[in-house]
Amino acid sequence: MAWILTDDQGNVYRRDIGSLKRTKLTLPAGVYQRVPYCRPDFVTLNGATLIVGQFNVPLVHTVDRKLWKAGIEPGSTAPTIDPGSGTGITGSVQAKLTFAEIALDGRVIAESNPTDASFTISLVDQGVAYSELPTSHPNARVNYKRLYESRDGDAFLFVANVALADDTYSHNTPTNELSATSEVSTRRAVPPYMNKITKTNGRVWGNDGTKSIRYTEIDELESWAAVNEQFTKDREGVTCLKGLFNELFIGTRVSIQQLTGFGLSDFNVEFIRRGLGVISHHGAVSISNSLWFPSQEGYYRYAGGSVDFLMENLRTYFREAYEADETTYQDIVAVVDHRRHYVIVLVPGSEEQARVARYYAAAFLPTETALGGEGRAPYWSRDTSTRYERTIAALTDGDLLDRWYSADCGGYARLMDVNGTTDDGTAYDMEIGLKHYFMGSQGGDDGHARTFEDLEMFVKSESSAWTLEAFVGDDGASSALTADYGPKVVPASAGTMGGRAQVPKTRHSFPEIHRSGHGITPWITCTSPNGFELRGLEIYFSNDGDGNRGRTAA
Amino acid sequence: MPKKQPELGIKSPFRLRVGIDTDGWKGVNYESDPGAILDDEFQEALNVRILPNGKVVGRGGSSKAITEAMDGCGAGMHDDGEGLPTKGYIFKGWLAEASEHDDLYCFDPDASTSLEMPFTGNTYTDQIFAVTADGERFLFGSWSQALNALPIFTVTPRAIALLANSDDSASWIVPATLFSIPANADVRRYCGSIVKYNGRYFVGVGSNNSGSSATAYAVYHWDGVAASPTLEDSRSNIAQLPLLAIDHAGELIAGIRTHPDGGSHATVIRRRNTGTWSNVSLPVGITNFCCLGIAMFDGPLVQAATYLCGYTNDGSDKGVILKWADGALSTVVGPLSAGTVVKDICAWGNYLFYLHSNTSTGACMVGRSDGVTWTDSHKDLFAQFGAESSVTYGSIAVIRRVLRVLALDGVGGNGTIYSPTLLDTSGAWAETAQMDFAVHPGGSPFRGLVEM
Repeated sequence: MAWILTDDQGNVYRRDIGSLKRTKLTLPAGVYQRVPYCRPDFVTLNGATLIVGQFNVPLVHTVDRKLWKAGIEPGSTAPTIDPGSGTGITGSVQAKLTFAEIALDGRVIAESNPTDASFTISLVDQGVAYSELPTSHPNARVNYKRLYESRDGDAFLFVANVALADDTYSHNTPTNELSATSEVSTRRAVPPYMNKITKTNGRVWGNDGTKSIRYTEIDELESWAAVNEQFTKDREGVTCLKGLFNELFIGTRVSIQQLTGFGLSDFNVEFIRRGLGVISHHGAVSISNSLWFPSQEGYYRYAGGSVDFLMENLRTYFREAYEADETTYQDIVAVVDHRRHYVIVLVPGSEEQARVARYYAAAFLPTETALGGEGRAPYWSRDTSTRYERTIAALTDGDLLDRWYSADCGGYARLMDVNGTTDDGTAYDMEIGLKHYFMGSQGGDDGHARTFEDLEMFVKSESSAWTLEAFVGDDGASSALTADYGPKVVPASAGTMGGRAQVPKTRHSFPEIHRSGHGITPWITCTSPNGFELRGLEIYFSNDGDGNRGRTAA
Repeated sequence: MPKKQPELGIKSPFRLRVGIDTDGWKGVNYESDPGAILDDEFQEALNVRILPNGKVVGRGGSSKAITEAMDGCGAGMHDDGEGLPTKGYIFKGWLAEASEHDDLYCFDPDASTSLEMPFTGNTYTDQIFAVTADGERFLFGSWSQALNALPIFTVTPRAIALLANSDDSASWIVPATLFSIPANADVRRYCGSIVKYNGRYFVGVGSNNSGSSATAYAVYHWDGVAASPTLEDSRSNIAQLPLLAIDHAGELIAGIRTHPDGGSHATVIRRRNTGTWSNVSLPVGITNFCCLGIAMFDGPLVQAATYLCGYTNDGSDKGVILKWADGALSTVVGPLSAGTVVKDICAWGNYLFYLHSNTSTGACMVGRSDGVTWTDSHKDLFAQFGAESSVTYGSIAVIRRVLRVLALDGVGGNGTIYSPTLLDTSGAWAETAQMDFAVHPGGSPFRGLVEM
């Protein structure tokens, strides 16, 4: 088990669990990164990982820990068979062959479609002799040919694996010893180019941005029969494709749809909503029994019938940010931390534009009723970055624990949200602006002002100093460049003193604030806020404010 | 609007104890006017985390997950584990060197080089004999001369993984546990094998006491701290080390060979059934038996059984494989020709594979059986790879789903790992170039090939 990493120069790496190093994997011959660049997408099914989007053809990373072109092309020439030595077979025989990669423990990793059928031969208590079998294949992963025979016009059943280097094979396997469950499949076409894939109900589903949705055979990652295809209801191009409980979620620019059913006979695409679309495939994540997806004005949630808007408090902010940088927002990436019940959305950084990454972070536990929440809006905050982070993922490291990792233009994958000392010295400045608290009417004249006599902040911070500022005045006060009070630096309140353990100081008084105005906005900043907790505040005021914003009361 | 009346003194304070007075902070609100947003919302919230208990804490920093950078900007990251925990396994091969060198080797079948981890600065060990992967821990035992304790090293796989991938391989090893046994200054103590059974480790210990009456072999309980003997024998001058394994029925069995001074070989096969040890009789025609390998096999054509490989000695060594089933031993292979020894045995897929060599002819073969048909010459390593002449400690094991044979390649007597390349394992095999120890001085018999 490993991580698969790619960079924007078209390199693919593997990082073994627990390792601090990465191994660059060799791209198969004829594989190159597409232009323009496309973010890769991954799906692992039964131990093999399909990689699409970034390269000209889909790749697969298999249990042999190598990269191959996904799927195996069929041979172009039918096998040659003749009556052979031995006894045991009577009747007509036709043969087909496939190419395959077979692991040394006997598992067939991938197999091609069969060739055309050979000429028919008639046997009377004889064997079958194959000759002039192909001994090479353009895909270097192929190590075996698999032979199938039809006896007396019945289905083509598996006969034998023949090493790729061998050009002959003889056998006399009786008809009754061929397994009826080993019929050759004609639904093993190589996968087409796709830029988004997902898996649900044992199949992998993919799309290249058009109206076409392709899918695999069940449990066969690399078998993409041409007939395995569905289309969006409105024939719009697909912008998002995600597997849900028992359905496939399909997003277009102007609609969201779902595909239900279990097979070719009952697959059905139907609308969920029109007039609401999805702007980023990688920005959509599945949580509990719902799907969170980004629209042009923020995140929505589809929860099996209902559609809810999740960003009431950020609607204008998100919409304007999208309008200002639509290309970046159409490339946002979201991941879920199931441990802490958080969604984080990366707005990728750009080294070319000298724009570091930004994030939206949401605590979703209050939102998901299936997880015990109350159905209210999620709690959003934002993260800033000091790097050109380009992708994020929730990965494990040999266990089941969700961890966030980012990858940046320095080429490193980094574990995010590390408390305590970080080995790369990263620190993010925390900033909390509380609301503007009015102690009287905000609509009055200067006679409605108050004097703030004392400000008490309930903060626990044992390892980091923090800073308090306060903006005093009307509700526009906090937009001022300079605070009316502060900055006041509060040292870390460690829990020991004189060798004796102390209860950490959690109540911090600022009695000298003594400012007058209609209201007050406390503003907290902290560098490396390890263990910082904001628990509340108290504001003591008198009604004798002189109404002059920010002026110290007499 | 009327003017306010002048008042003096502090009025009732505004108090907000989030998580106590209210449900908790509700996140940032950029949509509303700063004065109109709710009391428990923020006008700004950068790099914070809002917890279910109502608190707001700071976002942590970051830490490099890889120390080698990618060439470009990160584009995609994916975990191919499908939610299966690996407990820190890295699935590499580990083997020990048991000659005058005392190193442990780690090899990755896909990597270009192996990693040698010497016991730098460690005075307790000369040779490593037992290598065991316990799942959570990696253990190896060695021998001790004129010491009253055996060093047993336990290292967590994750620690090994991290260290094995660092460039500083020389300082990785730390003697984690000293396995204490009764004092006897005259004997050499050997750790023959380590097995976890019923929640405890059982450690096979042999000794060479040159004629004294001290205990010659013993099997100890070991809980990681203290050890106590469960099986002892006073026959002296042991020739091979006690080999322990858990059989197909969940019993612990021990294969031990002694040879008293001036006397013939004596063989002891013991089973530990319901907490007690008892002797197992050797099959007819097997006068002495030196057990070198034990494997459980449950093939499609046979019922589950345990197979013990090694050699019998009726004046010369002759390789044999014994089958342990239904409370009795029977001979299924051999005795082979004189000078032949079956070095090791393991199950892979639907077959049982065994490594045997002939010290007089130089033959080095891999045999294969489905439990019914036994083909001793399934693969002739000597024919493909040349003069193998003295496989002192050959091993055969499945590492990363592929059969691997550790043997000597004869060229300077250095250890090499061989693997089949096709499903038909009798065809051409490949030599693991990174594990050709031709550059290592003195020749290096290896043992203890194990995956972790």
